[in-house]
Amino acid sequence: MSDRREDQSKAGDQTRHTNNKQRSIAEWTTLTISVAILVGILGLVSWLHFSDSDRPAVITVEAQIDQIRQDESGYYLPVIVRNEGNITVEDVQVQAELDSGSGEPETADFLITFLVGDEEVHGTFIFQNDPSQGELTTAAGSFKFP
Amino acid sequence: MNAWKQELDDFVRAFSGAYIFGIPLLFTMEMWWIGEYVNPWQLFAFLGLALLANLGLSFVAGFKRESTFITSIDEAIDAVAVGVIAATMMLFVLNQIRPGDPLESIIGKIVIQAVPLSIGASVANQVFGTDGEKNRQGEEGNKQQLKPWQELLSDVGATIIGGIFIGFSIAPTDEIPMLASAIGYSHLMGLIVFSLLISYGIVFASGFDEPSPEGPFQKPFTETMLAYLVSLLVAFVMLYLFGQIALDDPLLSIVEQTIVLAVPTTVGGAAGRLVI
Repeated sequence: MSDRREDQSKAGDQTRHTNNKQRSIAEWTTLTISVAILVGILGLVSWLHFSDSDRPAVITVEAQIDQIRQDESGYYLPVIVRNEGNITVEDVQVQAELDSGSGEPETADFLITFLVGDEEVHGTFIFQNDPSQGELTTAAGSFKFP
Repeated sequence: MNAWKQELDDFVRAFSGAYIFGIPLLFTMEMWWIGEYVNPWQLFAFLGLALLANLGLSFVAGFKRESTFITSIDEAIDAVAVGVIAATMMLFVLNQIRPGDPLESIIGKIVIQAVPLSIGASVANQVFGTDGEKNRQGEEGNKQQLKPWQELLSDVGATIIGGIFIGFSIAPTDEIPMLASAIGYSHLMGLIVFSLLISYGIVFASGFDEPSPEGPFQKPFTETMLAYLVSLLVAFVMLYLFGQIALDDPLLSIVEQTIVLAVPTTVGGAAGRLVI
């Protein structure tokens, strides 16, 4: 019982001490850093808000013909997919068709879950024929808005 | 107590609380995706919500153990800043934000995660702070009767239970293979160091628990390392039981997934050692 009373009195002392004390240099330092972080993040969000010019999504697919890699399973063609607008799009279907002149054209595709404005994503198509020899078409087939 | 030491303790406690409460959402892909297409006005709203929630919380559960209105504003700002930094560090280590990413995607992901993390920072003391003082005194009475090997068993058991508690909700999700497949060697090393730091922070540096001088595994460094090994094992077993990994999978894939899941199991394990 006496211990509890002692504890309570200690707690009371501590509270009074806390309420009356001036902020220490350490507290001022951490508060300044915290305020700077908060102002920084608010500033960045404001900048995003006011620079938001609503450029519509334009999806480009750039084939890296000079970086084709070949092994026994086929020709690996790296591509860079870019969203040149500033609106995020979802489920971007990227397609490629290779007409090598003999037989049916080869097709390949992959899906990008989200493509943010100004973002670029690297992907690879795999063909049985050499894409640098045939007629290659790459394009984004479809996307939706999240 | 030295003012700088006090501040350091307060902030380590805040970061620890943020990760204990926020870790499941840091491992949720929908949270990353929403961050990619959220509008700036929604980000303002989320930041406002975080500030308001933390302002309210700091009256009852401030991490600096003070409760005047002015200090509550200070604490709310500190908590949101902790949430922002904690989110940035974890998303960076998990390779969910990269230096070349569009700014709106980076800011979106950070702000969305900062909301639950900052709330975790604020309630850190409610669960583990000064209110736990009486419980700890009670526990100390019991602890003194434990032999060193019982202490060890208790710590290992608590690490396993805490790891399962937090890891169980994350182990069966697609996020683990998704994250593991997108990280390289440097991120793996980063995740290991980060896990050890969080574990050390939660148990020893945050003042949630007082280190007991007795027993070979009660030394901070030894216990942190031992706890991490146990957490790795918990992560591996859970991934195996949920069928996320098979023993004939490539070794690198098993190692990567285990290290990724070991982040939440380490946080859970550290929290477990405090609670039990």
